[in-house]
Amino acid sequence: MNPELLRYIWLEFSLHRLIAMPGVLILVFLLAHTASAESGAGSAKVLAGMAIGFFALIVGLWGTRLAADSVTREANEHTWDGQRLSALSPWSMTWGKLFGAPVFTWYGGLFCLAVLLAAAPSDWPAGRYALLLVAAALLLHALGLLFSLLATRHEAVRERRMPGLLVVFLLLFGVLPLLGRVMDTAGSQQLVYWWGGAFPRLDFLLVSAAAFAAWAVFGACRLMCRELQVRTTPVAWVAFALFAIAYLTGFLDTADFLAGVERAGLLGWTGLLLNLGLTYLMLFAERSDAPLVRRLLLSAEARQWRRVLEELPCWPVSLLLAGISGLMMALYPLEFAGGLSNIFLPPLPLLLLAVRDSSLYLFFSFGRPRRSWVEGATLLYLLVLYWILPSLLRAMGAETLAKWVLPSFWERESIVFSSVILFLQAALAVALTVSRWRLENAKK
Amino acid sequence: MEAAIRVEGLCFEYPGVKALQDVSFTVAAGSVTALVGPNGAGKTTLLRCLAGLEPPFLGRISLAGVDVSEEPRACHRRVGYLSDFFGLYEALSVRRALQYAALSHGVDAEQAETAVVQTAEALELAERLESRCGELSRGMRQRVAIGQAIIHRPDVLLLDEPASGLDPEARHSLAGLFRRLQAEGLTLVVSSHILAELDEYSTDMLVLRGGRVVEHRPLSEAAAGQAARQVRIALARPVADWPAALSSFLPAGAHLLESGATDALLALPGDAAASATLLRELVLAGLPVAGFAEERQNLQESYLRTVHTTIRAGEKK
Repeated sequence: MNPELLRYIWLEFSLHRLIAMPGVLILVFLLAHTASAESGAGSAKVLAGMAIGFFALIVGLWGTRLAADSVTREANEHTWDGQRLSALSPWSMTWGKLFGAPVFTWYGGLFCLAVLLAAAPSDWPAGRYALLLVAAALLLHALGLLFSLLATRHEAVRERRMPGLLVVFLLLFGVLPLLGRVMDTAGSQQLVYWWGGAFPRLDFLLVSAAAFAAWAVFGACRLMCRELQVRTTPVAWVAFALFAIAYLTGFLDTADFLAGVERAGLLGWTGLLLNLGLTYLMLFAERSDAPLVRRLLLSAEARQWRRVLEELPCWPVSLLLAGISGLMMALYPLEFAGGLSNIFLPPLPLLLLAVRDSSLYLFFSFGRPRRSWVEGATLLYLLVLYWILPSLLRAMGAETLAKWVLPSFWERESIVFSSVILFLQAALAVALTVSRWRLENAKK
Repeated sequence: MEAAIRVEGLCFEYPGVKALQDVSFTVAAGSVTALVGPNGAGKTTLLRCLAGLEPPFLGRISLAGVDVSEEPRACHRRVGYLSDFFGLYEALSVRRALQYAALSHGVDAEQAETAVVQTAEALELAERLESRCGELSRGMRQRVAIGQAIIHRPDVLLLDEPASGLDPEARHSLAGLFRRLQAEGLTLVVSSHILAELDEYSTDMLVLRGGRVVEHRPLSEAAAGQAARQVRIALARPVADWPAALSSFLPAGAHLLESGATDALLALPGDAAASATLLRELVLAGLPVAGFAEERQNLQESYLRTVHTTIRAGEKK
């Protein structure tokens, strides 16, 4: 047996817990059955609904919290170094933690699934509901583990056990309401249009959840590789970005307002927005400090290109993919139809903004060792540049000056002016970052 | 002697801090190296780099013949590491904690139980196998942590401040354990602030200061015998121009290490006969010699002398 899973079983299962979990659930289901029988409501429907609800609470909420705390807890309790030195492969460690950390909640969850399958009314697709619940739980647990691995290198986030809170927040306000909507009988009958095909909503969601769960597990495994000093290149990150572009574009492909547009342009549009989002996400999620940049430069000087790729954070890769997507957009421009014909999203200004903002992050990162300070300062200055300063200048009637800070690149008539201003801003940010880099190196 | 650890030009940098700068040294197999230096000298970073937990910025580390930068996972199988702030799974019994360590370090399931029993016996934990880790004393916890680090029979054991927080009895017992591990062929690198404790079992001393190696030399008497012995001379009363007077009697290779009004410390090459010759000459010259004794330098004195020499050299520059 996987030693990591075995350790969790030793830690999580006591005789008391083994008896208490099914005992409490049996009492709750008995109570629900009795109450529904007395009130004349359909007992089967109530029991099945309660089984789904309890599964979501126990495996979804509690289990995700445990998965999201799995690595940060080890780091906080000083056992993580020992695990990093073990002989377990990254994959063994990943699945050991993925199933091990929430193993006790799965014990209760399997009981809930059994009740769902046994009690669901005959017109319910109970088997597919159960599969969807399992896939959604796996996706959430894998995301929790992924956040936990990212937070391990971020002291402030790790010590406050923020990954767990973040995932629980996502769960409460994103996944559970979505599952609720899909699982109502009417909802599950509806069709989803994707890449020209029509698919039953429940089946589509089931396959989507399984696919994203597989990606999340794969992502967690790649992060585990980094923790265990197994070198990897960002190939998996590129593959995920391409998958996500293809997945999201599938929904737009059949949209009325995009009828007749080139698919290449559509892929470029999704690719640009998705990769810009991923650039900002990873810029703040990963470490990008002076030692890392120096290490990259040294490897590049020595022409060790594989080592460069192994050390490279994901955000420059996403920025590059956004650039390629922008090029596709330029080659195959999109013209929205109907009510969305006013939408204008030129790629160049968006890319320049991303270059400026990432340079700003590096500028602070090269000067200060504390990551939370760097992140706070970058966010503050982004807030000033995107909102406070332009709003203040407009309020003071200095409209032209405001456009020098935040040009209206979304207006067709000012695209050239906007591009020039943003190019100057990006060039200034890059120049400042390079000069700080030289200054810091000269000090040493 | 075969090298268990070979470090060449190691550099490591944290954001804003160069923790290690051009560190090079070799540790002989079967030795116990005391890694000493002030706070922030880079001791913990060096141990983490040796263990393959942090990739070095520049330089090479070879541990038990494995290139740590190229094959960190292979290195992990050959090394045991105990961090200064180690943690244990409080709710697990000692048996299960050791069993998990064995299995996760790749010991076969059939051999794991034997490894647990042998390790527990070696660490005098056999009586406490069924106790929960959370119920153990600090000294016992330290032993369990060391047990977890050595259960897979590593070639090299790296220990960061292993005796901190231990009472004198537990420290003495730990020293005995390290001597036993060394006798079994393990190479140990031990970082500690408590130099008197390191003195009990160390064969070599590696001094780090400001991320650089200041000194690395053997401490054992056999190894030290090849170099100059230290002799302290005490006078019954002050003598005019005492250091110059003494220097005129010193044989080739001997030199004055320090001198006061009525004493001096010499580095004197050669055997006991060389000491006898010098003593006779001093007495015949009419110097009021009241004491003449070989002084075995302990680790603390050796370390402080190295540090003072380094500081003085830095000031001269």
